[in-house]
Amino acid sequence: MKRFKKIAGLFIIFFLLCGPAYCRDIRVISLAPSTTEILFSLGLSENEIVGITNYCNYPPQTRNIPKVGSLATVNIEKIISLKPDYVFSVGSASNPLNKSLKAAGLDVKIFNAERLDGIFLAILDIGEITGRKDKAETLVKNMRRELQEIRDKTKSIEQPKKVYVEIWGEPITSCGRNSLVDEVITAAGGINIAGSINTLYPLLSQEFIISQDPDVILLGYMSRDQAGLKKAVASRFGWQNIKAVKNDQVICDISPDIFLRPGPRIVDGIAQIQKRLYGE
Amino acid sequence: MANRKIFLLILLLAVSAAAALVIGPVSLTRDILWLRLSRILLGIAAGAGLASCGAVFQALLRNPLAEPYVLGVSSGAGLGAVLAVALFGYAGFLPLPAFTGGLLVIFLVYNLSRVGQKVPVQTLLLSGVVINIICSSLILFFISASGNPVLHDAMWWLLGNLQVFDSRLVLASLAAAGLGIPVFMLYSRELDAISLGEEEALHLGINIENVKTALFIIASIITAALVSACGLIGFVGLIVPHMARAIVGPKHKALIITAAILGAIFLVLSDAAARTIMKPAEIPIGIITSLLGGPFFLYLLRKTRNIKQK
Amino acid sequence: MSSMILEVKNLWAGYSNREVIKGVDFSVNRGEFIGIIGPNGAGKSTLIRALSRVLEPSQGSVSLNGKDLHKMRLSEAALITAVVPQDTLIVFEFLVRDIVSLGRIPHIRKLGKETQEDLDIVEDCLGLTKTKELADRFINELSAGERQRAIIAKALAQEPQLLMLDEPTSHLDISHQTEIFDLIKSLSRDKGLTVIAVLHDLNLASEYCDRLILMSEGKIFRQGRPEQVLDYKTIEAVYKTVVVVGKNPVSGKPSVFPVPEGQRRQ
Repeated sequence: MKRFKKIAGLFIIFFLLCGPAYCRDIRVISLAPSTTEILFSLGLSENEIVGITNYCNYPPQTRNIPKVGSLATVNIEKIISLKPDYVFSVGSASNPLNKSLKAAGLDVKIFNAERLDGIFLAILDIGEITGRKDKAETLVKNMRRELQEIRDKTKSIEQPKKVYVEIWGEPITSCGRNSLVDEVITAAGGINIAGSINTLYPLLSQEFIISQDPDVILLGYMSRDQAGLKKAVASRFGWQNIKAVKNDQVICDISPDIFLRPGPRIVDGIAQIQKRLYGE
Repeated sequence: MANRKIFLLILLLAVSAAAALVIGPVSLTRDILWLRLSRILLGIAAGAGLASCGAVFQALLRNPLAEPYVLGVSSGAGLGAVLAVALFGYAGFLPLPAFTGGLLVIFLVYNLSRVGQKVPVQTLLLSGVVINIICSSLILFFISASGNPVLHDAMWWLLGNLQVFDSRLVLASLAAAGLGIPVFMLYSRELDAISLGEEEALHLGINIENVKTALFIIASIITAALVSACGLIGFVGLIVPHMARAIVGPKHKALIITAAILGAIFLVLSDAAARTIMKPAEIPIGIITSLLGGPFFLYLLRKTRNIKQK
Repeated sequence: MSSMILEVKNLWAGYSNREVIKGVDFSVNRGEFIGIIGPNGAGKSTLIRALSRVLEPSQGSVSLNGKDLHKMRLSEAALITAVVPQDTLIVFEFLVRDIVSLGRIPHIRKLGKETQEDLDIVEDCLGLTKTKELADRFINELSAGERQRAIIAKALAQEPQLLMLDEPTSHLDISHQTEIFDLIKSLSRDKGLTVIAVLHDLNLASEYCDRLILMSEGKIFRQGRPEQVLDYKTIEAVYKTVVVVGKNPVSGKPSVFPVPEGQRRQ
């Protein structure tokens, strides 16, 4: 009896000391909009996501979460004051920001999802770290299934549409082989005219674009109001004879956040693009 | 002798322009004819303009390391564009605030250096360098502090670019270079004398304050116009005058026109390379001018050194 | 043409906050070889600069051939006077011939071209200064003496009536010094060229100059023939050092000998 009391006593003391650590919410900070979306899609609440960047704008709950700056202007002191368990960052482990974060004693986890598979892996890893492993596995399974369905839809199209994606105008920048956007276009059933170029984000020559004569032009300027862009792009000198311009197939109303961000909405983005390319 | 060389260079320019017309990532078709032509014309204007202004600044400042951007006109133009966007949300024709910024800097540098009726050259150089630094820092500040993505466009434009395709800008650039270069040539003797020294020029009866002021203002306006149209294209204004000196000597009667032709050839060919080397991607032209120009100049330097030793 | 080519009256000149020349009067006749001497800081170079339009005087007048120098157009003054500065830093690689031909600038009309006459005059000046063999070399490759001769050739190419030189031989050894001075003296004697030269070497000044102007603290202390100016009391008063004045055994002109401290008790 005495020994039992001793053991029970130890347990009670143990819980009293460590309970708060086990029972309290995890605290994470996200330094990338895509990571923020992943965290929310895994069901983390505003109590658990304690800091995000200025550019994290989805879902709407992000409005209420404290901002720690943007990647270029992160406020490390703010991050420390929020006492995170983990900081989810991007970029190389040895870049100045990540080094400073580590030196400040923070637990930095880096995710650079560059392709679709990378997104799935990131979701699973983040799920593991934040204790949402099951949720993550379900989410990834659904995404994979949807993706396959989309791919199947246009598998046997004889003349896939040629797509030119422009992610910036000064200079004119597109997405080449092995970029996420290239995969997105291909999955949606289109052909990326810059897909054979070995640079991730080549500065395309206008002559090349004109001579390729794409069927569709997809504008994906990150964090930019796209309404005026369509007119500016379509009225470039020499572009009036491009099929996409002639047939008013310059797409500017699909939010770039959906298909540029390596996040949970990517498959939805692919679906939207496919719909615009081929209807139905 | 010099005349024969100049004639050959003009031929070379014609050949280069013709070659540039057909060199590119895609073969020449009617659709892209104007695109190529526009780049070639702008290349000629900017190359000739920057090289001849470089020669003039080197004589005025009596410094072989001088070049058109050293007096701050270019960063003034950049600041003009950046301020218009950052402070006034300007979203229109960027070359306009850029040119204004350039002109304001010319005015500022000139007045900062003036002592009574005179503009001492050393003070001009110092004021220009300081204004240059201040403007560049302000540009970086506004770009990093502002969330406005249009500012990132401004930064790209600062890297130099002949893909302007706006006929107004091409014509304006051709006009600037085309009017400025003959004026410089009219001042050839004065430039020769000034490059010996201001006192020496004075002793030869040259009204150096008038001449300095006129040349400084004309060369700065041309530089401002070219930078507003094409951004910053480095190397041309600094090295092409030296290449020209190696070919026809330092007398400005031959030097100005030679530098202009060489600059035009150089930019036209660099631009052709910029769109072809990594086709169909474009390399920023400033990278090409530095990478191609540097070694070529070193080669020219060695060749003339050897000739002299013989 | 009157025999007086230059007349300086009550000339005051200086830099932003201080006057260096404080009331200088003298005149120069055509064909004279004038030497301006004096200790450092006396104002010799400043005087030349005031006379060559580099410095504007604050008071006084300078008349050239009877006309006010500072009211003349620069181009007009350049037809009459030429200046050889102390040294020149030439940044670009001009040929000697190109440098000399710059001397013709005052004579070439604004939009005009060089004529055969201009080219001939350049050749003559190269010959006079014995720089013909150097004509096709780069100016920066010449020795100090050769450079100075080339610069003098440029000044002569202006066909001046009055040649002003500021310490033309301070960097040269004695053989080059005599060479330059022999040249200038012969031009003065044979062609009637008027010469004003700032000199630091009292003995050279004594040998070659017709008249000396001794400056001290911005004023003229004494002027006249070498024999009149170079006596030991005058030199000691101005240069504040002990000297002995003797005679050049060949020419009879006064020669100044320094007296080192150890010898001064005599």
